Amino acid sequence: MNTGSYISGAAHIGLIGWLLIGDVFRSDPPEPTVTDVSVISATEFDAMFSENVPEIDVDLAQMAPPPDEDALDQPVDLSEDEVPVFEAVPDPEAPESEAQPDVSGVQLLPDAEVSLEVPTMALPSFETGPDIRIDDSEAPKPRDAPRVAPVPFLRPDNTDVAVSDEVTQAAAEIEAPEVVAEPEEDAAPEEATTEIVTEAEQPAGAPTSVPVPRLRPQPSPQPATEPQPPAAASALSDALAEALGEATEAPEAPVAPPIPAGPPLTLAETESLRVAVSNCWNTGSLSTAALRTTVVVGVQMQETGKPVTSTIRLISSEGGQGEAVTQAYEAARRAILRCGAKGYDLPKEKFGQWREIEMTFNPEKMRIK
Amino acid sequence: MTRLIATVLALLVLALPLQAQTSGPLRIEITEGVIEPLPFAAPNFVAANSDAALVGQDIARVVADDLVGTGLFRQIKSSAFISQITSFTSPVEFSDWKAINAQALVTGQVSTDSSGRLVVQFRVYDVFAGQELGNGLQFAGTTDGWRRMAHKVADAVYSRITGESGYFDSRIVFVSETGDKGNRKKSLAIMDSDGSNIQQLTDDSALVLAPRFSPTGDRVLYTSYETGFPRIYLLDVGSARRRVLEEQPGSISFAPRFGPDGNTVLYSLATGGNTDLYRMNLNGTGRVRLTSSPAIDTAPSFSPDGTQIVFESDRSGSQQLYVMPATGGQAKRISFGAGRYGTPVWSPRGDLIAFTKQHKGRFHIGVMRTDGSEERLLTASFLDEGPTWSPNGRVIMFTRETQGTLGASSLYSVDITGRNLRRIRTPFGGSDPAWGPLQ
Repeated sequence: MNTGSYISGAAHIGLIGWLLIGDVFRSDPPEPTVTDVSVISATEFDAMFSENVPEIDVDLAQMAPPPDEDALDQPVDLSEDEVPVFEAVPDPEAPESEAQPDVSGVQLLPDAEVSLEVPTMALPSFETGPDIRIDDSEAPKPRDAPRVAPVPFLRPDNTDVAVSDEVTQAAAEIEAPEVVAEPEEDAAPEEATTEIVTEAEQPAGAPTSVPVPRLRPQPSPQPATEPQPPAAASALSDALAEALGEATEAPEAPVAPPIPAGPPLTLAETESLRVAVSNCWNTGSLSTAALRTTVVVGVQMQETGKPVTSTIRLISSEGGQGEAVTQAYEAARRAILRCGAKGYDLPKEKFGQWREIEMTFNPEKMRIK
Repeated sequence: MTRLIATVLALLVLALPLQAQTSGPLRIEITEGVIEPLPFAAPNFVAANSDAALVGQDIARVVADDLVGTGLFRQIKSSAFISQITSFTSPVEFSDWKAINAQALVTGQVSTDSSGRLVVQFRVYDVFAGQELGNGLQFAGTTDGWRRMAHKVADAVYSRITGESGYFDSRIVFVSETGDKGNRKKSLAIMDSDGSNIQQLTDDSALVLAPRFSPTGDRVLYTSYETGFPRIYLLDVGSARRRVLEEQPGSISFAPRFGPDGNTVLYSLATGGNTDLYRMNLNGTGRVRLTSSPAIDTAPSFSPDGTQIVFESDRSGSQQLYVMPATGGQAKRISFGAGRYGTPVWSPRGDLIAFTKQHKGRFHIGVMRTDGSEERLLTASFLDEGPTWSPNGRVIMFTRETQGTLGASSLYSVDITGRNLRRIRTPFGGSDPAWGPLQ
């Protein structure tokens, strides 16, 4: 015997005991229900259903109110009747269709008026609750980020004026290496020139100095010069004129601001570019020496995503010399140009981020093994 | 659940901006590309005069065939051309060639000068860069030499695109074979690198083996059984005159090979049942014994700088590869893989050694570093043997023999990457190829 049997036996005994001792099987039957009746004659019975009926109808008509309450619960009738009332409420901009699902609210027609108070409640909350301002500042932050983004590229706002001067100097320095790079591509100056002029700077045909607006496209120099003569509006205009006059070689440089810097590229966007170039980097015809050469190639891009042919230049190389470097660079250049012929898929709003690209072509994985 | 979280995190990371790249140019690194033949277009060379019209087509065809034969290039058919090259001096419409994805364009002009010489001019363009690769070149020669000029054009094109020197304007000496397997006749023959222009150097009256070009390509060393015993002969390719290089009574000499200076010869000499390596001057003087082991030492090959020798020996009990100084001395074994190794040949670049390997009943052509590391087998068949390097060290040619009583020997080539295995078409069977230098 096991525990289960004991439990089962105890349960059966308990059940039988309850049936015997409890009130399940009563020895005395329940008392029958007794109703008092009275005996009437046939005439009395007929008199009950003859002339008193109209009086009863009148009483039933007075019972109408209960059916009215039931009718309120029926959505069809109420919606048809009460919709005009909702249309009359001008407060919410929500379309009328919202009134239909709120049929139950028909009973609360006055509540619709209460809803008008809701916006009035929100207004004072803005004025009194400083916490609400904090919430609002957090929400717009993502929107402001792209606008603020160009500033951090240049460094803090405190040094706007100084930075702007440095940028112009840096631009002058950048021009030199470009001149150096040109001899490497000496065979294509004519075609390259047209492309440079059309896109490198401004389509308006600004005079050279391509890099000037590259780093500082924003009109930061103008507000920087304004604070110096805070005297009068005429002085401001004079300062602006002077500021424009100082940049004699690049009077049209301020036209550059249209270049959107935007936020930095995401990993996915960068990876997309990398894969696109990889698909055209053909190392099949490279010599074994070139396959041991890593080259860093710089290129300027058009806003359309197409590379500027004349700006493709060898920045540095490692692992090879002489002809091997040349072949590795030319293969990289072909890759950039081939897959960029129709323009790389890059976000235009971030043009400032990818206008200048440096690509490192490392053939380590492509070597003969 | 974990995978879901990982996926979400990965997406978030991808969507994060690259804060590190907020200044300066965008920088990306590309580590993987594609390996495919480079598409090129080689329109018929423009004929400056009517005499050169047909030659212009032939030269363009040979140039294209040479390039395609490397496996590194793919020719775009002329039917796909959008525009034609009608003038050698006119600007190239690169857009038309970009549209058909021609990455390289070869244009040329053929003319005959007043003395009747054929003049070939050509240019190579990087289509997508829109510029010429190098400067235009011109070759001049007899009309009969148009094929060789075409090879030179192909060499220049190959060199400008790949960065390596070409090998098309070179010749190959080999053993031409006729007859059944049981009664095969062998003779020496020479041909261009593409298998054309075959010329016989000897008749098939005697068995010949293992011809080797001199560094200058004007002489050939080979082994002949003309006297019933193997002897080393020196043959002048231009005049077909020959002489015995080594003749020692009671000995057998074989497996000769030139040194890099062209005046030194390495060979094997078997005396008294023992085979060792020797070196001597081409004029028969200065004979030096390099090895003195009871084993069979044979198939020597100089390093390009002439300071070392690689050879095969069974001194360890099985056939293996060894390297030793060119003056003799301690030999170092470099092959340690399973199977037997033989017929080593040092690459013209000096970085690799090609060899024949026999393992589990199969023959392979392979390469390894000079220290024996990074062994790679390039082929596998019933019988592959006797590798020889192209002048630029990029291609290996060898002998492949098919199985059975009707089996025949043929010449094959393979890129050192193991790709582009090709059979070299010859009118008869071929074996023992030896690649000569660029002419």
